[in-house]
Amino acid sequence: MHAKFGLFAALFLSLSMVIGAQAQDQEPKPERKPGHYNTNRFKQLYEEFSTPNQYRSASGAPGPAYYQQQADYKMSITLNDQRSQLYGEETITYTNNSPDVLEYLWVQLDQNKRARDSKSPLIEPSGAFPAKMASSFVSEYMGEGFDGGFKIDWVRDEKGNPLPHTVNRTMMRVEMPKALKPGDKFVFSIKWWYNIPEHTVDRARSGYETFEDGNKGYVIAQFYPRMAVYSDVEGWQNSQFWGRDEFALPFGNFEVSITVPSDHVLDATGVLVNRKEVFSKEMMRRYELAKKSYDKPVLIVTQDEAERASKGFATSSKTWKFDAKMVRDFGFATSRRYIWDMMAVRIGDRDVMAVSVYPPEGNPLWEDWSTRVVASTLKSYSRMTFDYPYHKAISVHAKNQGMEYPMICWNYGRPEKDGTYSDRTKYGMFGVIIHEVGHNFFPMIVNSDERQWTWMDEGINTFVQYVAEQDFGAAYPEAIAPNETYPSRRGPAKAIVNYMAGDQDQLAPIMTKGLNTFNFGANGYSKPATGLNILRKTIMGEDLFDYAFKTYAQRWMFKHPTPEDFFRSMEDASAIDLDWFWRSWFYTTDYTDIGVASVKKYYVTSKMNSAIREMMQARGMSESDLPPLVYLVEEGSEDFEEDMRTQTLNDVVTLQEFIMDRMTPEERAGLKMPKYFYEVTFEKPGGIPMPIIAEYTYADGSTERITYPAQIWRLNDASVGKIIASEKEIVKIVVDPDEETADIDTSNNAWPAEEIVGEFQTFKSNIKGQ
Amino acid sequence: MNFSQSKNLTQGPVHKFYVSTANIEFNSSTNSLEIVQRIFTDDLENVLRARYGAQIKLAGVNESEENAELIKRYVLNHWTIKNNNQDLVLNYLGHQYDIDQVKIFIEVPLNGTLAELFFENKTLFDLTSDQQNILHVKVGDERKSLLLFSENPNGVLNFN
Repeated sequence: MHAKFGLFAALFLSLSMVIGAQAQDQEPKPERKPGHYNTNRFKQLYEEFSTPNQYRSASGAPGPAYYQQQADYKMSITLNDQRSQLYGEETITYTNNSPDVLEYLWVQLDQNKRARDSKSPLIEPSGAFPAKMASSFVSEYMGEGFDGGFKIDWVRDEKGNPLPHTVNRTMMRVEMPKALKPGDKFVFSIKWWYNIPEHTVDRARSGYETFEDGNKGYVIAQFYPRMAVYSDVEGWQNSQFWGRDEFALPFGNFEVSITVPSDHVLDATGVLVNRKEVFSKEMMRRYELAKKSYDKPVLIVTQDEAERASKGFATSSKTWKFDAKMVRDFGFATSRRYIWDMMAVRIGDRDVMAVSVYPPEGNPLWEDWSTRVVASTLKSYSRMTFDYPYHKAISVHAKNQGMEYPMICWNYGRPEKDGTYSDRTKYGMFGVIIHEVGHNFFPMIVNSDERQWTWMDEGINTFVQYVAEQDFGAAYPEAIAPNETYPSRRGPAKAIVNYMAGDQDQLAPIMTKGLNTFNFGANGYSKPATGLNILRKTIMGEDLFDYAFKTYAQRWMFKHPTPEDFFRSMEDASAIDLDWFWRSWFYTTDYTDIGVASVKKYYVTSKMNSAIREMMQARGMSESDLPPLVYLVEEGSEDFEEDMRTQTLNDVVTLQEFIMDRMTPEERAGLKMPKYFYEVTFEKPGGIPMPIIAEYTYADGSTERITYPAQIWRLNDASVGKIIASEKEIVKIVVDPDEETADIDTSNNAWPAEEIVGEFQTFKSNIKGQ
Repeated sequence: MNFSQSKNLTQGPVHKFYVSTANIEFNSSTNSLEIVQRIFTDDLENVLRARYGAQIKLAGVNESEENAELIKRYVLNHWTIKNNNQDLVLNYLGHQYDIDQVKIFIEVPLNGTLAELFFENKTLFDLTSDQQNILHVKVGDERKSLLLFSENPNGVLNFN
C-alpha cells in the first residue's frame, strides 16, 4: 500500500512539473520574484520584543535582578477653603534600589500643566470656529487665564540647605550634593503652594466644584511634587505631562496630615490614624456598626447633617492624619457638604470597607448604589486577579469626574435637581464607579507606565470592568431592571467593529502612546478590552485565559510591568502561542474579515474522473497501474452523472472491495457512511488571522459548529479549503454566527449569501410601520 | 496660559474624549445616502441646554415632541452635504437611544449620479473645541473616512 501510494504521489508530482515546463515553453519567461523576509502573520515577535534579561524573564515574570525604586513621603498639607489654595511641605526619602549610580533626581510637577507658560495649549491645532460657548470664549481670548501651576518656595536637603533644582515644564531636576549610590537613600524637602483649579470649568482631573449654596467640594490629586519612576526599561521617566497620558509613579509609604476647616469631612488614601480626634462620638458609633454591616451601607454623616454643616463656615481647623503603605500615589476629598457612608465586604479572609462620599446633589442615586457598586467591584476584580490588599475603597461623587487614585476615586453620575435620573445617568454612574474602583488593581497595584501605555491600565481595566458589570447585573437584578443583563458598552466584539472598519489613515496601533492616537477612547480602552474578551471567549477559553491573566496580575502586583511582561505571561501560563494575536491586534491596525467564498458539492465514485484520466494518458499509464482509488466528482461537472445523486458509498466498488477485504463485519458496522461531500472555501479579506467559527446547518434543521484554529491561515493568508464529509445535506454555512471575532464585513459570512438588513433599513421600516 | 484651549485631557472612562461617529452608506437602489450618526446623549443634551434652555432633559424613551423637534433642528443645522457641488436635501427620519448614545437617522437622496461628495459636520463644535466627528462613508465595497474637527469641519470624497 505505502509503496503504491508513494508511486502515485511521485507520478502526480512529476506530472505537475511537466505541465509547468510546458507552460514555460509557450509563454515569455516570467520575471522571477525577489526573495523576502519572513512576513508570515504567525512569525514570532522576536524583533518587536526586547531580549529577556535578569530584570525581566522570558516567562513574563520579574527576573532575579528585578528592582524598583522607593519613594516615601511625609507631608503636611493645608487647605485655604476661602481662596481655594493648597499649601504643602513634604519630605521625600528616595531609596535607590537600582544597580546604577544616580547623578540627579527627577520630580514631577503635574500642576504645571495649568501654569500660564504651559506648552500644552501650544500643541493643539486650532482654527476659526462658527460658534463657541461664551465662557470658553472669555477664558480663551479675553482673560489672562487661570494662574495655575506649582509655586515652589524652596527645595532643601535634610539639614535645611537649599538644593539646586531646574524646572523643565512639568518636571523638576533636583541636584544632590553627591551622586546616589545603589542601596543609598536621599532625603530632601519641598515647600510649595498652588491655586486649585475649578474642575467643572476647565475639566481638570482634580480641583473643586462650587455647589449652588457656595460651598465647595474638593477632589484633590497630583497635588504634590511626585517622584518620577526610574526603571530598567526607561531610566528616568522623561515624557512630560501634556495632559492626556497619565502617570508613572514609584511605590512608597505615606504619612500625610491634612488641615482643613473644622466643619469639613475628609477621606483619603491610607488608614485614618487619628479617627478619634476627628470623628464625633456618634460618628465613631456608626463607624463601628458599618464595620459589621455586610449587606447595606451605614451612614457616618447623614444628608441632614451635611446640609446643616453647609450653612456654616468654620474659621477653626482640624487636622486629619493618614498612613498609607505601599501606594504609588495619594489623593483626598474634602467638603463640609459631604455625606459619608460605608459597609464591609469580605475579600478572602479579610474585611474591606466599601466607602462613598457625596454631596446631597448626588442623591438618591448615590445613597442607593455607590457603596454597593464599590463592594461588588472589589469582589469581581479580586476573583479575576488577587485579593484586594488595601483596607478600603472610596467612591467620591464629583460632577463630570472619572478619575482614579489608590483607594479613592472621583465619579460622575448626577441626578436632576428634583432627584430623578435617567437610565444613562444611572448606568454612567455604575460604569464609572466600577471602572475607577477597578483602577485600584490596574494601575494602582499592577503599576504599569500610564504615560507610555494607555492600554495597559485603561484597556486591561476596561476588560475586567466588563466582567464586573456583568457580575453586578447578576448580583443586583433590581438595579438593572428591566434589562436582564448589564448593558455594557465596551467589551462585546461587535461594539468595536465601527472603529476597526474605519479609514486606515486615521487608525493607530494599540501599541502607540495615547497622546499620538486619533481616537483615544477606542484605541486605549475599547480595542484592547475587546481583544482580551476575544482571547477569553473565543481563542483561549475562560479557564486558560483566567489562569494566565491571574498569573500576570499576581506576578506584577506592586511592581512595574511592561507590555511584553503581559504578552509573555499570557502565553507562558497557558501554553498558547499568541504572538500572531498580539502582532495583529496590538501592533497593527489590521481588522477581521472572514467569509465563505464558495461551496462545491462532490459525489464519490469508483469511476475515474477526467482529471486523473488526463494525467494517466499523459504518462502513458493505465488504470491497473494505480492502487484502488475513489474519485470525487463535482456536481454539474463533465464527469457528473445524475444517478450519482442516489448512490451511496456501498455503490463505490473500489471502496467496497477495500472494506470487504480488510475489515471484519464488526468493524464494518462501526463505519460512518457520509453521503455528501463538500469543498468549502473560506476567504479572508481581512488581515487578522482569526479562527474560523463555522456553523453548518443540515437539511433536517440540526446544526453543528466547527472552529478551525487561526493557524489554518498559516500557509495561505487569503483563502483555505476544507472538505466536509456529511451524512446529511448541508443547507447553510455561517461564519462567526455569534459575531465574536469583530468581523467588519458580515456580508460574506453566509452561504447561501444572506441579505444583511442594516440598522438604517431596520429603523426606516419601523417608522413606516408606525 | 489659555488653559481652556487644551481641554483634551478631560477624564472618565466615558469622557476622556469627545467624539461622534456617523456611518454613511450609499444605497444604489434608492440612489441615496443613508446616515446613522451616533452622538453621546449627555453631549447632545448639554448643547441643547446651552442653546434652548437648562430645563431640557432628553428622555431616553418616549421623547417629547418638543425635544424631538429640537434634536432634529440642531442636527440638521450642523450637516451640509453636497454631490457634484450641489447642496443635497436631508430627510431626517428620527432618533433612537442606545445605552449612552443617541442614534440619528438621516436619508439623503442624490440629485443625480453619485460624483464628488462634500461633507461638512459641525455637530458639538459649539460645545467644545475638542470635539471630533468621524464619518465612515461606504460606497459599494469602497470605504473612506473623514475626521472632522473645528478647524477642519469638512472634506471631499471621491469614489470610483
